[in-house]
Amino acid sequence: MSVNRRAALLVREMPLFADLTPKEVVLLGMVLKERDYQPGEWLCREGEPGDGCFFIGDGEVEIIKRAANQAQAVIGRAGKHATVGQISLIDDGPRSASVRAKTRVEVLRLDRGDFEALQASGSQFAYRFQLAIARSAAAQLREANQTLMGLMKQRETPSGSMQRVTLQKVQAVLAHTRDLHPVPTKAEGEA
Amino acid sequence: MSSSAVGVEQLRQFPFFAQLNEDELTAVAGACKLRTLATKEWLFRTGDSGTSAFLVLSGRVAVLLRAGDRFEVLDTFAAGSIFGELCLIEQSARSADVRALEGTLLIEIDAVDFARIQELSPLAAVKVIKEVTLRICERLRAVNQRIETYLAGEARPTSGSHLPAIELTEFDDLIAADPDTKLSFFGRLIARLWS
Repeated sequence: MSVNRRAALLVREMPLFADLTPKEVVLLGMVLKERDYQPGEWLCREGEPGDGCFFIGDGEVEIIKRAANQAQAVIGRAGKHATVGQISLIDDGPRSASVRAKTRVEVLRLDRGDFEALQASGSQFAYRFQLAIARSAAAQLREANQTLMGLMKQRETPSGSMQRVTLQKVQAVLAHTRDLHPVPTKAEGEA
Repeated sequence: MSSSAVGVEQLRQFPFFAQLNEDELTAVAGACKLRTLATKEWLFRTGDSGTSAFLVLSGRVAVLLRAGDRFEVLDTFAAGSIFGELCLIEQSARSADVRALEGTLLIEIDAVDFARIQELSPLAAVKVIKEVTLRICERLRAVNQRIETYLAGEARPTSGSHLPAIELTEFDDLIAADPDTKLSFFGRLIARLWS
């Protein structure tokens, strides 16, 4: 296996992997597979087995869910340095949503086999990597909670209680919540 | 409040640690301490820096959200529950108050101490973080399911979506009467966000 210089450079750029040592960045660069997607191309489809996750080096993707009436709804967007597809990689369930390239997208793909091998290695690198994946999932959960709370609030207002939630509104909520983060506090200090 | 050492046997009671072997449990136990709370004693308050996860050995605690001079009960945790586990992956301010409803025995896992066990047993640390991640994914799938329902336009307002505010003085009686009826999905959601 050879060092993929471009992959390693992308890894080093990603805030998610800021805690990794230079050696670990190179290791990850060897394991991750680089691929470009054209606008409209699918990275993965809802319902499929989750055989890997994607780290976005550049570009923008749309997160798409099928509603009960088979209509597709864009429930989110993810851009540069985001992680997508990690849920089914972790819990072994089917893909919970589809991901489609909106622009030309540069991704690094982590295959399930490599992820599991890394976990089993029992190294400090495995710990830091698992931590990074956990944080990306937590960020996604915060975002999903915000989206849901926005939808629930709309339902509860008297005028909007009976109206159907339109796609535009969902996207507005997402755009608004994307930059929300929990208040960081110092780990030490307060007893 | 007191603190003392935690044994491997106590950790083994929690499915959360099911994947860990004896040595790994020993490593985790090194980052744990016992906490006892008297009835009505506060474990932490909104705005406190969240640096620990908690496992309930016995007793029960309530997650409360203060609204003026009232409290809303977001969730309760009984023996076998774990809460605040997101603190093991990233520290943030507590978003709710937690108080003991009765005499309660907790295992506290301090995030800083936990980060140190990975030097001793990286595999133990990986397994615990993996379990935390699984729980995040579980919630994420549940939330996504709700979003999907709303998108399909089939959602009906849940009966508990308007949380009744509870007078501070009434609170203990209410909980004693029937804790579960006072909890709504919406409340649980907020509680689970950063409890």
